[in-house]
Amino acid sequence: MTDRGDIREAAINWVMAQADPAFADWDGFLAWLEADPAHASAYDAVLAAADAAEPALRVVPASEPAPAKPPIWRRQAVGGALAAGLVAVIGFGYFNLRPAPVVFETGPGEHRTIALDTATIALNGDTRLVVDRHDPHHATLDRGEALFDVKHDEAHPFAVKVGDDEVQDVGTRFDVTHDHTGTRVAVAEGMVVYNPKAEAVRLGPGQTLDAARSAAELRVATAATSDIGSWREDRLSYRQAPLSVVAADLSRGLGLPIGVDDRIAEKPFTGVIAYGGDKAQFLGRLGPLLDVGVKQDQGRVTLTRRP
Amino acid sequence: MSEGLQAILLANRATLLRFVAARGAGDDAEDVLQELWIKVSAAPSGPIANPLSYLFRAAENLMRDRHRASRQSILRDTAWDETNSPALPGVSDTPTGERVLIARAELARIEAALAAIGDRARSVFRLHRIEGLAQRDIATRMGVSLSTVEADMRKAYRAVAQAREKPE
Repeated sequence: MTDRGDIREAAINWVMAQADPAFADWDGFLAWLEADPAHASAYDAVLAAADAAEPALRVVPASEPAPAKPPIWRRQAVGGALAAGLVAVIGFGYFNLRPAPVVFETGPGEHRTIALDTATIALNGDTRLVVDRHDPHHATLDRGEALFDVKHDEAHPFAVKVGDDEVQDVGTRFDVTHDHTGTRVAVAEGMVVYNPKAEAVRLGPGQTLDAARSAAELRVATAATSDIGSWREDRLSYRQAPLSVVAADLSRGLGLPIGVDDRIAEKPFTGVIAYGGDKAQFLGRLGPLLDVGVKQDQGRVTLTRRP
Repeated sequence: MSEGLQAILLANRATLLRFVAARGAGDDAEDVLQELWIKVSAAPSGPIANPLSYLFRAAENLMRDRHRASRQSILRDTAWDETNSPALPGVSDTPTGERVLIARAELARIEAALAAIGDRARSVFRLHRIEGLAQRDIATRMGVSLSTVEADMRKAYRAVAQAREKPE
């Protein structure tokens, strides 16, 4: 093995060791860095390569076994020091205190996780979320879908603005979707309050709220808590959901616009859709799965009445 | 608590300065420490088991952010750009043609490297880098030993690092 290879192996060892939140051998790391400038370069090259590999890794091969349950996110061991920069760490103190919103945007089909001091937020595809640098207890979901994992803080509830509505929580995990069909909230753990100053609907674990644009009233229903946020595994689960909602979710996840014929937009669907793997194959199976016709025309997909 | 951290930062200032310099801060080492100070001052209060280790970790994260930002200013807004800097509303994200080509070539090499290490190693790496799972949790999830996970992870890091380095 070349010298260069040896240095790279050592760099990989340090990167892997630091992934452990309990890593404490900073003296050893410093000594290694100072021993040779090539060490720091090799170490950065490994981190850069791992970053660069992220988009490739986001494509889940069909062969990967589905997890038994949704992953439990590792909470940060201490303050803003997240294990090994697995996700982008945004400490609010990291930036100059300029008054400007921080915008996080994902492209269609792209997933991204951001860690604030107050919450970890997973963004689904085609999603835009704005956080206020000065107020880590607020976030605005302009469009798309996000799964919030909020640290418990009674004194400072975390609030998500969605259009004119607000979802307020006190230490929990919940999913919020905002698209042309309306706003949906699903609670996996803890308790949230929907529009605390208006309707003040309290939602507990396994409860969902649907504020459809087409309906005047809010609809509260139940869902399996393990299914909430399962889009991160490229899996969607429904109980009596209108096809317009299914299509909107699939558009975000697949990164492909999927429309619905008005005549079947309200047709209810119950079942689980796993959409990882080959897109063309998936679209081939989609018709029978949803019991609809699937029309493809110049990259646009439309769900129609079964032919 | 943050006052306690500040005291520990002051007591270990020289070492932390050496650390950020060795991590490539160059002339900006003092600025990084200043940033660290601001961050520590704003840190939520609460017991911290090993405050000096916490400070090193925070400094390391700052340096990772800086390196990532400088890479992004070189290859700004390319197709695979995983930015952690604020997007600028109203500013076009369209990358220039040449940058996209370089980016695509590198991504293609990395994809090929990930395909070559096998499905299990790739899954291990994905669970670690994307899902943020610890090695132990990955072992449980995939039903393999911890040493297998470690070996797979090392293999994956090596493969992507080599792929990014070699321009052919």
